[in-house]
Amino acid sequence: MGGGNRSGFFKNPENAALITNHCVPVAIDTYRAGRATDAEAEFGERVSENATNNFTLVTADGKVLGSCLRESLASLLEKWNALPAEQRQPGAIKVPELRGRDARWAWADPPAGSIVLKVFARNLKRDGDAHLVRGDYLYPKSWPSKDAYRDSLWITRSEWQALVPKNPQSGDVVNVPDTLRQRVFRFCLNERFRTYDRPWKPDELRGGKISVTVNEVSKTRVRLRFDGFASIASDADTRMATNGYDGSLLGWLEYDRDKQQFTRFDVLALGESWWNEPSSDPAFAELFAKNFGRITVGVSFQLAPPGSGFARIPPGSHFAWSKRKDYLGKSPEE
Amino acid sequence: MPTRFSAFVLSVAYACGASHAAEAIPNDEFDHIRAQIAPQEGESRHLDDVPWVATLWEARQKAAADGKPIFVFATGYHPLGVC
Repeated sequence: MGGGNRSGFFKNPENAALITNHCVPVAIDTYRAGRATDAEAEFGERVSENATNNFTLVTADGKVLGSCLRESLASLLEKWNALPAEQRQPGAIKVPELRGRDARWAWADPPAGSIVLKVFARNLKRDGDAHLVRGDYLYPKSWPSKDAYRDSLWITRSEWQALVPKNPQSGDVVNVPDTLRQRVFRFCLNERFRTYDRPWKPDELRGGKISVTVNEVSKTRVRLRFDGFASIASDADTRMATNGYDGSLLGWLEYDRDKQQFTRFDVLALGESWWNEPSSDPAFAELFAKNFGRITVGVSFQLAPPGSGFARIPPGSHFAWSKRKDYLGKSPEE
Repeated sequence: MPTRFSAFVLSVAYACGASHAAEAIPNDEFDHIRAQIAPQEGESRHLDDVPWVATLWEARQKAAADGKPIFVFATGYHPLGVC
């Protein structure tokens, strides 16, 4: 059967296995495809059938074999296998180099040597025993998605190298580089539930700090504790601020001294978020009318395996990938 | 520059609650909270298993070279976001 929404489609491991074993998978943003003016955007609009949350199977030269909204992926793969062999064999189709990619909407890789973290965010609530558990889905019922929010976070080489003292001793404290602190606060602790994932503006960061403390040192490994807090508000007087966030961070990092790389980067942010700015988008207007007030939001970070699909997708916070300088700040890599 | 003194100052600042109103995350709830945030059964857990390539053009070229079809996941926003 077909998918219909990402939760329905990707909760099924068989779909993921069929894609991995028999297809070249790509996730595209139809917002970009509808605005960029280059051959890639034109191709994307056509093969996605101008529909969001669509899953199509297409040939390299652009023939749409069908949509998983209407047919199962297995049946679409049968259509592929039914094509003449000369259309399917490796090298049968020639795809030219893309010339003139629209730079305003260009995808980009992270600076060389960066690490990529997976970011998941979700609204939480207290259960009867006062434990934090998953909150109810806040999105309008008309939205197909019921899911954790995903994003990624780039940490440049100079930033992650700055987290580990050269001669680490237990108790040493390092303040994380300001570019990284601002990136975490602005692009990862931002509102995602009542507006379109708008990053915080730099002048909305009212207070906050992130530090890393050396916890254990051995010949081969350094274990570090990641601590911080963030106070963010749209007005200097937080009581008057229509939008804001107030939260703490805690995490545990491990650094392999021989390989000179992080092997663990598990961080949590837990805080309260409020957003009282009306949206002109009807979908968000529906949410705004519900007046959720302050909600508890949890954000988790962990290493994305190098080369994994997750690591290949640029950060998303309100199209951060199209505002690279704003996203990376004045880090040495830029 | 890392110092043990700065660790002491930081711990005192936190203990005094200086400029920090949010509740600290208890160590013993760390794993529980992470598990609550992560994609659950019935959600798109297996989306993360897929070896996505970065761009549609790269997918076209790889599909042509490998003799495979392209699976296009078209989203209305960040490709691995929420809608």
